[in-house]
Amino acid sequence: MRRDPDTIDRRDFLRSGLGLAGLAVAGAGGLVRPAAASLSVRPERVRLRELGIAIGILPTGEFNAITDVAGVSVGHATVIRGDGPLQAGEGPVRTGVTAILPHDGDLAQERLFAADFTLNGNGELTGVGVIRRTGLLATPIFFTNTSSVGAVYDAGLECMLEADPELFGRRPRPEPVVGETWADFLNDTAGRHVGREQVAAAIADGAGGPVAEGCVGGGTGMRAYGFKAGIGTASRQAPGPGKGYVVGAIVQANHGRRDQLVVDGVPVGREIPDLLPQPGLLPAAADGTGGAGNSLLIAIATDAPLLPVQLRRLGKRAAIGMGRTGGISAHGSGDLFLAFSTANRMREGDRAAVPLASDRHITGLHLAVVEAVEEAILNALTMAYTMTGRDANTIHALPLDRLVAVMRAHGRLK
Amino acid sequence: MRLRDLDLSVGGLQPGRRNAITDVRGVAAGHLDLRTPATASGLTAILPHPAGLGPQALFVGRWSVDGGEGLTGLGVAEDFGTISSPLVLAPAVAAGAVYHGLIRYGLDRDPGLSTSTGWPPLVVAIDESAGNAPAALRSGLDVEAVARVLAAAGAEVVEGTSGIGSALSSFGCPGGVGSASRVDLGPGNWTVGLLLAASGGDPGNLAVDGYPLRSHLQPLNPPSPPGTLAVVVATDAPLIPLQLQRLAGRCAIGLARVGILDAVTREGVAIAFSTVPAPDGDGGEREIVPEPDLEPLFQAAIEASQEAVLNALLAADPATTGALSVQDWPEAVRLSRSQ
Repeated sequence: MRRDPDTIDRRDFLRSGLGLAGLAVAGAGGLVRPAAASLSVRPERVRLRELGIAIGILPTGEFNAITDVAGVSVGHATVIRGDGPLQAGEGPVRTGVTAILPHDGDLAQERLFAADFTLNGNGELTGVGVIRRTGLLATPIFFTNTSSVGAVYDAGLECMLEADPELFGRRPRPEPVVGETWADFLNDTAGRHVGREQVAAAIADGAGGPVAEGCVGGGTGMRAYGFKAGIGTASRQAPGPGKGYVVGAIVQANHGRRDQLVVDGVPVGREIPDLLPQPGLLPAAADGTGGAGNSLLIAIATDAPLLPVQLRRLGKRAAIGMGRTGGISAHGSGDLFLAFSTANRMREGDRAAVPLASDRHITGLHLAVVEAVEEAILNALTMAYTMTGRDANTIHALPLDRLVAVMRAHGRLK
Repeated sequence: MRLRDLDLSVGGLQPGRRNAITDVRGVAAGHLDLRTPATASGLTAILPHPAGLGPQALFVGRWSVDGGEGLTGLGVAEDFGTISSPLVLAPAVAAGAVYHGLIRYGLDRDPGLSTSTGWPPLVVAIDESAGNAPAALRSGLDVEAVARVLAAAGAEVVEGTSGIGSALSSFGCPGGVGSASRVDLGPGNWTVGLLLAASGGDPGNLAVDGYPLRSHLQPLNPPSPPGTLAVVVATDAPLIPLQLQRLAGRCAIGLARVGILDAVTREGVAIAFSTVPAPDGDGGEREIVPEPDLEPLFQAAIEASQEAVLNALLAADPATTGALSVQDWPEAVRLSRSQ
């Protein structure tokens, strides 16, 4: 179910090269399109591979997205509203919510094996307690901004209750999985502008195929390495029995200092030291962090039939993917990762035997996670556009022409 | 003497034929006693699968007091969730020597030392809190001793002051090692068996099936000094590592209920494994035990851990148990129940 199926075919729209992630879909109150004027001046943003930069050695899936794992869908609701001085509770608003739906069935009744990994704990990912206890994921995964976690949790629960009035009779009791990163430089954090309407819209927007990236959904107000960032995704085909396995990653990137940024082994951040986040109306409020962001959320999906103990190992490898883009997981960062397997749908009380993978092929899955996470973070950077938010603060996009020039200078592009 | 010889029991689940960890098919246990005029100590080994078996890893899960100490092999056990080594309960001072002996065992099985043929060794270091001379333990509990304790493992489990129980003290009394089991659990008719090394405990807290004995056993012995509580749990239920962690954790309930896990406990660990092999090769099918079916297994761990502690106490020489005179137990329980 799309919110505006008559006027926008989302897939065609994205393929047209105009995949401007900040486009909020008409028809849902409170959501507005970015001003037409800013659309017209926005340089085209593309995915990393479209620049000729390919990470790693494994082949990607069809869409190079987490949705290449069969059954996984992703939807966004983006809220971009207002300009000028911050008026707490009013705006300007640069936020949203991203919903990752692990499969297309009834999640509360058909749970998936899952595990989380905390690289640095200064963040929130609700619902991991029950996942640690039971190893089962029973809900969508939501990414949003810090101040909206409670509202998204509540709204997510409400949507789940509508779909399944018996939800609280289920054991284990499903708890919404909601992660956050901090968008305060552009967004009216105190206003808590994401609620029931946006959560329902993000779920309804959920679809397979291409995934909108950059300044979209929960990633709308985010930055990484001092550049505008947000949502990014990628996938890999890993060796395994039969047709092998698929691994997909989706990130909400809001981490890292500029001088740390590495693209495919090249220290791009040191080559582009300018274009740091730029204070607008209140120069005294410059964040003084050298453009540092904080926090990185990652969800990893695979169709390999893994157990929680194995999925936890995949989750750890997401840290290596982040490290290859230069991040060090700073003290202030909430670097929280969740991995799930779509292979086995576990029904309450069901004792059927399920296929399980041994550790024989897990090294290939580790590589797939590392590569997919690395590329997903870089896609978040190359797809996000320059955004001005509250108090006219601006976060610049990674300039793609300069990125290409740096890669050429390092002999990584012809 | 065992608890059931006194017509006493813990809980309502059925014990296995031996009422011991070896009721779980394929599991063997054995002791090696080290005795000199100045030394009473030993080793206890649990073989999770039959000796001579080919490469095979088993799923494992662990619970511990305060994060635990004194357990080797944790890297693989916690990251992969598997073990393939025998578990040897050893005096802490001899843990390195015993580890060395288990490496020898692993190398004999596979010169490449793989995680499915005995590597890494699982040594549970036990703080005996006793007067054994460290040098005597380290020289007496060597590679040879490890080979002997592994060779001694079988279906019969000797309790009390044997093996690692030789120098232990619980509830102010000698001992020791105890074991118990529960069978016919859940829809798979699964078995849970455990063996433990009991240390510590205040006789004032001792309870049989929840009934305190203190009012009826006077005078009370002074508490045992806190040592290491270590429980090894085996099951033939096809549990996965996360579930085995939870099963191990349920032993804490039993240990607290019988009175041995208390505020002064410093070291306590429970390790649970499933005898259903972990997937190997290209993987395979495995039954997953659903959430509600875990409950009888948890209950079994709670009951068996209490009974094993009481068995450890009773198996030690009754003449030396002082105020905990065994013959008074049934009457004490009867009086406690009537109050």
